[in-house]
Amino acid sequence: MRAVSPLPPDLDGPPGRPGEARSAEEESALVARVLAGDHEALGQLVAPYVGSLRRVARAILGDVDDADDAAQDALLLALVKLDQFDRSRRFGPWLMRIVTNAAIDRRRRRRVRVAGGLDEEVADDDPLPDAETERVVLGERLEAALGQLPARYRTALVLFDVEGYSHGEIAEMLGVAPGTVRSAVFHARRRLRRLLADWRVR
Amino acid sequence: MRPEISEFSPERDPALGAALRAALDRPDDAAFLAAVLERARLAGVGSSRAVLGRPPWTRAAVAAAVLAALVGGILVGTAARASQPFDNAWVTATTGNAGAGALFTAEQAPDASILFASVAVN
Repeated sequence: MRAVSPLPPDLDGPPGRPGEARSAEEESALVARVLAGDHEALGQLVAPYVGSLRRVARAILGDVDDADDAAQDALLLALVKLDQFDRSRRFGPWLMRIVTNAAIDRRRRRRVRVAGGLDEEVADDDPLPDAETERVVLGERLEAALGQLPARYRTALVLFDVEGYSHGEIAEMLGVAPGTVRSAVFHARRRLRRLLADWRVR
Repeated sequence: MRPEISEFSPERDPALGAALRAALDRPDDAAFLAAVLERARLAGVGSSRAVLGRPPWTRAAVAAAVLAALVGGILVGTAARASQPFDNAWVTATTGNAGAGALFTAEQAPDASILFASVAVN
């Protein structure tokens, strides 16, 4: 078998729902090539989803390294189970369901280390040097706030507001009713608003 | 800068989504994917080696299925052989002719003498 194939060019695609750039037929053809043993097609198939999978795993698990381990294991599991994938459906939600479940399962089994201490870090009134620093600090604040939400809330929120999946798709991924997803997104936003209430415009 | 969180909106919140995306993004997706592909290659994903790379219970299940098929085949063969004497006896009893039993239940074409003996008796 040949060595690792060249990485596909669409790893750093535009923000938005992953995998949308190609049609369902193209995706189905890629799956068929992977099942036939085409290792290059493997990279092309999963590349558009890598960033998304890592973000969702991170949102669920908190710890970045743990999240990457979970995403990697889940990706391999998905590839091993690829022959069970229904090619009449989109690949993204199927893949995301496996990664989400793997991350949730991992979280149950392991003690999650959530980033902490950020509230103190941003509590002082020192002026921020520039917009970039402010963006970084906001990101840290957001991640810390996200870590304080129940896992089901932040999973639903990230899948909906960040990754662009519909309530119905998220419900199918998580094995819950669409109404439960809507409720989780609502509660997640409300809690985030509360947790970020002291964030001042500078 | 402050993300506007429209908690009641059933629509996506682009500002919140973008801020969260920036907070959750990890660098080096390419390196991550390369590591996944290398592990997939070593595990033989997409080839016949993939089956062997699956968890031990999968291999045990395959072995159990093969064993069950073998045992099933033996049982069916034994039952087929055991049923033959009964059929022979039934035909003989029904027709009152041992030659007819041999004629109808034989796996191979009967000897001509059996056929003639059967005709001669009748």
